[in-house]
Amino acid sequence: MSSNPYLPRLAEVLEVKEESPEVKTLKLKLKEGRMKFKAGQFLELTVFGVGEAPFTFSSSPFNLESFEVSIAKVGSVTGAAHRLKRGELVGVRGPFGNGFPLEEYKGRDLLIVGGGIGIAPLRSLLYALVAERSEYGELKLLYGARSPSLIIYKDEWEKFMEKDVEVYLTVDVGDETWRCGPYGPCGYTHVGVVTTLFDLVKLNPEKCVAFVCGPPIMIKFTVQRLLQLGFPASRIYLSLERMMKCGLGKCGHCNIEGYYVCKDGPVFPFEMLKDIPHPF
Amino acid sequence: MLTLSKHYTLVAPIVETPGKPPILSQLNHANFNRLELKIRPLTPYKFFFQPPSEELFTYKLAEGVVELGYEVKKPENLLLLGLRSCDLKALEKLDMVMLEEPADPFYKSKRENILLVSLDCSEPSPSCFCTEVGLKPYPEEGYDLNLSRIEGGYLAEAGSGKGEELLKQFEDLFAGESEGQLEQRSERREAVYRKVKEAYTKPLKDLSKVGEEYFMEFTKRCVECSGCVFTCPTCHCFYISDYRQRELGGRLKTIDSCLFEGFQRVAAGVNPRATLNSRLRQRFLKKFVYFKQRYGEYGCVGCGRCVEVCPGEIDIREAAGLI
Repeated sequence: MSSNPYLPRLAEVLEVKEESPEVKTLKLKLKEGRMKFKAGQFLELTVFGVGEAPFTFSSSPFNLESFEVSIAKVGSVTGAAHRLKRGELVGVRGPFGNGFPLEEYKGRDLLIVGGGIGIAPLRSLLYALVAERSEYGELKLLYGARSPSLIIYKDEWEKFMEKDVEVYLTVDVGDETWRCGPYGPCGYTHVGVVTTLFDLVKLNPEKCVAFVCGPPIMIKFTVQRLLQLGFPASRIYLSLERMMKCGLGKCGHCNIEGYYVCKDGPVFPFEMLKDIPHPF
Repeated sequence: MLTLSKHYTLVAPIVETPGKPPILSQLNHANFNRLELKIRPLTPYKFFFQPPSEELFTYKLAEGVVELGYEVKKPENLLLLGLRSCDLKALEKLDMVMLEEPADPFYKSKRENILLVSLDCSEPSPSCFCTEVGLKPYPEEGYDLNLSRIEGGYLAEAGSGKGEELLKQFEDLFAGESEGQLEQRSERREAVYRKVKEAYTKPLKDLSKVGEEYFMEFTKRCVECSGCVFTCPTCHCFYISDYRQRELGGRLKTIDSCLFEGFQRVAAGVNPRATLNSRLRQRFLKKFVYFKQRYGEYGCVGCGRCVEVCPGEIDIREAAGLI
């Protein structure tokens, strides 16, 4: 039997964690073998009987025992993924794509900017960075969600702060919990889109590298802001979303001009995209 | 051909509607008199390698167990007749995509097992422009057997071991070449080449240098039917979807088109190519810019099928600056 790159490997759901009313994180373990991946790469997840969809890894690439994906409920596959229970079997293909180019940036300051569910691959990136914390300079995270209840990984941000990551959170619209709730004492009371957080942080564009993931409009304004601050286009990395169907550079669904997000991405330096009419 | 059709499932260009271009059908006694070897078929040959729908694997669900299975079928004794130089070149381009590692095993099995009998073009269509994308209107490689029409018959040339076997298997159908026949073939080939070449005087436009608005006049006429995509011998995009009946299910690879509105739509309704103009531009640039960037050749073979089927009279040659 010749090998079939469309065939998923079986994985067991070890744990389902509700992160927010819209997002669940699935902890998965392959039935056979281990999933070796890089932060920023993605997998194709099969919910049997429903379909397959692409998700970035959201867990630490250094954990070889299990891996996680964080899934926002937006359609049929994601809806079915939200109904999965511990012990159920899913299919996975991957890892696919390039991942964040971390080796190139040891010793540098890193700025990570996430919006909405776009924080998922950046969480994997953060775990990779804090695992080798001394290899990097200043680490700063700017993360925004639409409302306080939609901020995910709530119990993890303080742990990142303990690992010397500056964490700045914001919401588009605040509420009582945001003003005096669990985030209040930590100083997470900011309201406004994620780019408004730039006013709070000191950055050194000369030696800093930016990693950005979020909805298209957020990416657009974040990139604008970074360029204004003096970040060169070659040091602004974007993790982009497309409907990667095959993950193999064949089906054509994820192309951006001549690039395939599944092979050339999903992480692109803005340098590669800056002359494209509508890259996000 | 009828002798061959006793030993092979023989698919060839057949005129189904008088006055219309031939389409691909299985050759048999009933339609033999409608076999058309002068005009290239409107149907592309790609569907024999990339079928409109194909199963990638099946699954059976039981309590706590998932059984996966798949079968790569090997086409038996299938012979495609009438491919032109453009059709063979188109298969080479599909190979670049589908056989790039990790190779698609379903496509690969068909490429390895289907016999290709090609033809020199004798009556190029007015929409043909293969010479403008670097092809010649007669096959030079990629065939098992090539047939060149000459006075009183065809000159057969094997292009592979399988082609040699075919010549041997049916040796009483073939005679050795006689004097002057090769020269006659060269003359005819040169004449057809000139006929296509001389229809064009302008060079290909560099579409990577034109703005988005350049495509608007074509977009205005596009009805999003995707006839161009489905008749294009190099368009390879596909969709992947699941079906399920109780505990049994499977996954299909089905034909798709980058012109469809939902082709790139992602979660939460975000659509990176929401406008028809952006989708049509992508298709034209894929043929003349992006495919070349990725694989070193144009993604278009100049067969002109899309020109013939478009109800909006969108002419890829006009978009590419040739006319």
